[in-house]
Amino acid sequence: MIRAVLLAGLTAFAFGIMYQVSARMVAVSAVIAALAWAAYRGLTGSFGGSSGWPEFLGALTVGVLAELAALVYKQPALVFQVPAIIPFVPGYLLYESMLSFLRNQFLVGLERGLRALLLAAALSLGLALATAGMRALRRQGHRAHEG
Amino acid sequence: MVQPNRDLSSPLGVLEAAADAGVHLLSAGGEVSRVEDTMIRITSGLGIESVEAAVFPTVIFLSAPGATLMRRVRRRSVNLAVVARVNQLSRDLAEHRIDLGVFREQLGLISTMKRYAGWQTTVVAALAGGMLCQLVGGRWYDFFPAMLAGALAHIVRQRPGSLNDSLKDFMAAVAAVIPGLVAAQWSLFHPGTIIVGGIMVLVPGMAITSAIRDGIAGDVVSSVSRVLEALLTAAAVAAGVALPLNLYLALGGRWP
Repeated sequence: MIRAVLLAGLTAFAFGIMYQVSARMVAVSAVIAALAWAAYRGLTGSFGGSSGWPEFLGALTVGVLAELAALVYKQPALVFQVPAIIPFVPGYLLYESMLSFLRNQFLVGLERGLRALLLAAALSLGLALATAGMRALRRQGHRAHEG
Repeated sequence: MVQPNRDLSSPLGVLEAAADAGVHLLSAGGEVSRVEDTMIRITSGLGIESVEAAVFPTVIFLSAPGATLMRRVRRRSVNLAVVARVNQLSRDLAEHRIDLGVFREQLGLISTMKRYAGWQTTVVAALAGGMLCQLVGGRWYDFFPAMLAGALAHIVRQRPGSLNDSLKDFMAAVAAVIPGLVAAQWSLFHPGTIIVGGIMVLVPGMAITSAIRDGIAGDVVSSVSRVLEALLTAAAVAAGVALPLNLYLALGGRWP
């Protein structure tokens, strides 16, 4: 668990550097990725099978923390979101799906592919909800400020 | 482009500065609403009102009374340093911390802006490949071939040249599979985790995230086209993995 959390944080760090984010902000997105991964792994046991809930809540954590970091550090939220969401991408499922197709195991391939798609949808929903919620809150804040 | 013979603060000059900022943002992967907001912030900060901006992933329109500009964006890449820098510059300009001359000068420097050298990003791509391999269940000794896979994928994709982006992704995926195929000769390794570690370096994370953010902001046209961009990359990577792997399996290669 601790090893996985560290790995997720370091992965986000590496991707941040690849996307040319400054060292300080990369450190922030690494912390975000590690926290979100801890939430994700902590929840995996609580939901049966591949419900998508852990992925959804993990992505939601990334989204909310990234929007908050964007406010605190006056940076675009993308700077934190893009590196931190990478560890969640269901790459292994997609690979397994493709390998199954190559080995003529079409049913397994379809099942893995569909599961990967559903997980991707859960991730998008988490990010989207965080962004939409923060936008609404900020607009309300602006209005209160003006009025 | 700085044009010293023109009055910089004329409406057209301001519009050009704003459009240049927009082009930099968009080609670095910024969201459409950010590009529009930034251009409007620049123009209204300099006193030009009733400016309309319409931005699509490949083109920018900017119009003020008496002047209209269109800019075409052909090459796009991921460079969050540029996004953050233009964001900062436009705020500074709108709040009159810098003037238009300085702004355009700084914008001119952005096109070559790279925080990290090629070898540095290659090293972190290698580390990313290794760590993603560990994250999807590889054993510790799978780390090293996965590092090689990540580095190869990154080097091939970042190679300068006029090649089409999808073709680059395809070739990068082919390169990323090779360490996995070599490692499959020993039952010690888990070639699957090695391959996944390598190709995850090619994940279109920026396109996906921008697609979501554009969709939430109501910019549905660019959201759809970014989804398509991500799907194209994913398809190119999948083809790049499937082709050598299929050949290898068809020739009776060893696979656990």
